[in-house]
Amino acid sequence: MIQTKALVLGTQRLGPLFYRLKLKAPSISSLAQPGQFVHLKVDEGYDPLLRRPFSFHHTDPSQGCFDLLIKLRGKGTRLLSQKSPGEELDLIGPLGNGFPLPHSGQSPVLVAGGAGIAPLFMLAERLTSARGNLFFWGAKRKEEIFLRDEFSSLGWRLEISTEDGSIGYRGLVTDLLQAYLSKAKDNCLIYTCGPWGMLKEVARLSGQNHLPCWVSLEGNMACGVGACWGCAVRCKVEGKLGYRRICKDGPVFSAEEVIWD
Amino acid sequence: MGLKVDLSVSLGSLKLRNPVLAASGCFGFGDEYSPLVDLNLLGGLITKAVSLNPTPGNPPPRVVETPCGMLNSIGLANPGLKGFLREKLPFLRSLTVPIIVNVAGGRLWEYVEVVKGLDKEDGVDGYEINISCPNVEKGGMEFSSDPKIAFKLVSSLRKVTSKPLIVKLSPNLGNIVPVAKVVEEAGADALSLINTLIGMAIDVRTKRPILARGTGGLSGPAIKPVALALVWKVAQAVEIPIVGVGGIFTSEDAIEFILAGSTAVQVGTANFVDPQTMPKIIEELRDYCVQEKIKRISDLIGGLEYG
Repeated sequence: MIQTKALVLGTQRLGPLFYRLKLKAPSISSLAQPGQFVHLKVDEGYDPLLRRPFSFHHTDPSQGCFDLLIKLRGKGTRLLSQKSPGEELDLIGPLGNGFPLPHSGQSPVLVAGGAGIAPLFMLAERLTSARGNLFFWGAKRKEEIFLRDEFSSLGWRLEISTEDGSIGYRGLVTDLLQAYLSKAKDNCLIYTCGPWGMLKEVARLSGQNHLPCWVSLEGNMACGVGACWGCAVRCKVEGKLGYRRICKDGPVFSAEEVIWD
Repeated sequence: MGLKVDLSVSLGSLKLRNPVLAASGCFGFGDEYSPLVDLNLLGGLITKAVSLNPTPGNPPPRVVETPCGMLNSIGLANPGLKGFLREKLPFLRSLTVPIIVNVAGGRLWEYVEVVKGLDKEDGVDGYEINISCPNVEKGGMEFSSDPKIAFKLVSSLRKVTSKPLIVKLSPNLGNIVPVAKVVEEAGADALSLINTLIGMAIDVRTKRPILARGTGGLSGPAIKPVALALVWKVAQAVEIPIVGVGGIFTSEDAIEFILAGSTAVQVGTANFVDPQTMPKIIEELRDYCVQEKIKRISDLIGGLEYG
């Protein structure tokens, strides 16, 4: 965990809601693991006040760089989308536990919902031996699907769903997963990130098929380092109902550990 | 060469090398921030609340940002007295700065048990008694809102410890002065002013409060003027030192609190925004004293030129 200044290399608009923010901070880039995140100060001043957490989306340690995927949600993300090359951002990272990597013989399947693509794309980059495996990505509409060229160069098979059917399968990404698991599921290891309702369904399908599943959670966060307990999520803790911190104990949890209701 | 500045201050028998303390709940038990901050630079560290039994805390969402501030409803989540002694105190003991344990409880006897359980421990240099948490059903606020109950609690604690007792008061009262006075009379060594203000945020799409518990405690720059006014008011009513807390982000903020009558200050929400805030404030306090030719920062306490 380091606090440092990152240099903004540029932003790239990926659709009406998404931007890619390219940053340079070699000390952080070299440590970053898939599923970990940075906690960054958007701007000087008191509004927005708190830092914002973003998963690593892509890293290039040889150049000391990494990308964050910014989905426009409010003032903080809008300000980030407007950063110019040469500006600096104060950031703390890498934070959180990251995704455990598959054991030999396990076949990873990735399931993203919306902006949940962010950490899973980096995981797909790292899991080079899983090329040819399936990456499911669901969104509301065509404009929220991008990165298709990057996926084809990575070698993962991308299967897309949209709620309005404007591209790919019309429906939910969990429908695609369910259909897939009903046929081939031996040795599957599921990784997922996205909205709560979708994660809950992925967790249910994994449980039903007795498959291990890692979920990456998000939540309102204050400190980002485990001190404040603001980002608590209800979990089974040593067999009892309790809380874990998304920032420190997570953001990646075993689907079985999380209390979904 | 420059003026040699004395930044030390005292809270009763507790000597601080500088007046900047980490506020309870905003700096965990120190270990969480140790990779980022040299904790031994601080004036002292006030731990997250410790209650007799482990406390899981409130359902999420527990925090939300508001303009120039944040609401929290953590609910005093902590490992309990035994967990604190086993998991947290050994690290705190390794630091060279005073450690003040924030103590919370649902009933009077629970506060007493926690203080008794800590009192013989090395590395516990004093207590901050939390009688002002707005985020729990029992205890907390009720001890602050009734001067008789506050008196009984503080005098009971006074009987079981000779270590410094700092009592943290709530701003969520019509008049804070009567409670401040009885707490002083009951034997407190200092007062911490203020805990968070009760606040609320609503999601207009779901038409529900954003925090699961409905309301929470407001902190950050938004509450600084309120805290400052209360410190100033209470400073004129009591003799014991006041520890100012509420939206302190810069050395100027800290100096304002000292001028209003604070002997020391606490930094809370600002740690989340920038973990370097406390070391920066300490350095800048020194610079300010040099520029203003102030030899001892304690000479500034209550130096407001007004009234």
